[in-house]
Amino acid sequence: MFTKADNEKLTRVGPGTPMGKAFRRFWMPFLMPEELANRDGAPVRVRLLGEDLIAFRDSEGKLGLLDRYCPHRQVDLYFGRNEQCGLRCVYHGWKFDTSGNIVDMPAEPANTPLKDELKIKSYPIVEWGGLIWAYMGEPEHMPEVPPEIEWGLVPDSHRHITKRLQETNYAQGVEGGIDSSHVGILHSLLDEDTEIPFRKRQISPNSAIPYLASDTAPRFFVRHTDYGMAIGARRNAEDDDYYWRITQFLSPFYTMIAPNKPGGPIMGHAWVPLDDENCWLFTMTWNATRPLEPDELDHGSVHTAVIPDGSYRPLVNRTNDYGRDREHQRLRSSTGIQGIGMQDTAIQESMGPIVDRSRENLGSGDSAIVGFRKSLLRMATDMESGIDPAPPKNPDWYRVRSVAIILEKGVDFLQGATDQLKAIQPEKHSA
Amino acid sequence: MSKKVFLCKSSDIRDGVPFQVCPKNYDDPFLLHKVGGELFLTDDLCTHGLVSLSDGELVGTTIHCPLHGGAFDVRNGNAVELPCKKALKTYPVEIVDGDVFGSIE
Repeated sequence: MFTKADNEKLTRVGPGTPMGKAFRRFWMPFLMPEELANRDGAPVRVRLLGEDLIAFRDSEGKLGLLDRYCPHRQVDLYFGRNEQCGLRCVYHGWKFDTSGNIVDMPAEPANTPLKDELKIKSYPIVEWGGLIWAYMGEPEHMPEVPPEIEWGLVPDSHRHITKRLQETNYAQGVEGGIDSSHVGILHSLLDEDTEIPFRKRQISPNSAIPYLASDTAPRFFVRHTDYGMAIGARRNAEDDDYYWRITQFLSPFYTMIAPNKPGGPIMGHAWVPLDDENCWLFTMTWNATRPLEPDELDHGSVHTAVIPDGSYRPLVNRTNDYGRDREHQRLRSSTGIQGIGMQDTAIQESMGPIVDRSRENLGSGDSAIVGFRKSLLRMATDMESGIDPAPPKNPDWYRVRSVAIILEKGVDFLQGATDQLKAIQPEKHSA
Repeated sequence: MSKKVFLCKSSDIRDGVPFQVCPKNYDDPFLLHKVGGELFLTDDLCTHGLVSLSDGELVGTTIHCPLHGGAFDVRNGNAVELPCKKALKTYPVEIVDGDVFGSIE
């Protein structure tokens, strides 16, 4: 039912594609601050929405994001020199500042008009909310600030962000993030008794969350909102109440997961496309009101260790079967793979870099996935008709928070949890 | 034995956009469809994939299921497109002073 044409429209984000044009209206996170920590440090190779770029921090601390290839003869500027307020190509010495101006052409006559005529492609780049962001669209449409998602609004001590490479299209990642129905299967630990049926062997991966064990068949409710989608998972609680876990999809590629305990840290993700077949998977843990405790950083479970060579490839990956242990799988876990994060990545990468959605047969648990595709396809189709996406121009729409809450039966979940769903609000200043 | 249950305000429902309602004491939601100003009330779950029809496409009086593309006539619940075969339950609905009431069991 999801046609090959739909799949192309959803997944292709390169220059000139409808979804690519829509994504280019958004500020997008792509680097960790540690990658550009030093003034005049080594430039970093970047691939974002199918474009090859180079990032650097100049002598005055300004960030620059330029075309990867020198406009002279297309040499890779990764071999360039970052010094004295610019990045200099080492072939003929053309030098570029962070705004994309050519500030030196040593092999040309001093008064050459070429220096002012030519520019190198450059994109605005900013450090905000614990990450480094780029804007790749037309200058007149540039939003003032990135989307004001709560993990970006809190102090550094209140958040923990990691990045890793996932070798799939971004959409497979988001669909995994909003799909609650896999949690009890893919991520479950198992009773070691191999004689009892599989369905009876599941031990919840998080015994702290109430009602997960007593109601294993939550009902899902999907609501389209101005920022994307709110997804309510409803379980029976006591008597006249329901237990709701409300999570969000925020346009175009962010998710949030409800906290495990009231007042506890919230987690979220972003899947940012390098190109059609690879994405940066950012994982955020944060607390709005207090610094994170050391045991809340969640290493090795949702966050994942990466090879410390700047590639952000996970330590366990396809080349080593994600560290899968067959005996552990037989006895103690669904997958034999350690950590919720890598279980997700393994299963999503196994679908191929761009899964062929025209071959699928969806089930009743897939309503959030259907809603996500509807939302994004509409954004791309609108873009083709000249209608800009609204969320980038409204960064405050992103000030929402996922929540777990008990509500009386008959109360609409978005209305019943209105206050709890609000993230930090901007301070009001009187005139 | 059906009773008249308050569902929502008529002004909550947009023409051509299915509107899901979850009245208290009913585990499953219902779906309201406003077509050219006229209201129709059906079950929310597709009889085929058991998924909510609320995110489906309402084209005239036909609601298309977003999961596999089957469809029902909202006036009588008849399945009009495969893979939907079993009819969708429909219920009488009326508006009294701007409030929408459904006659549901």
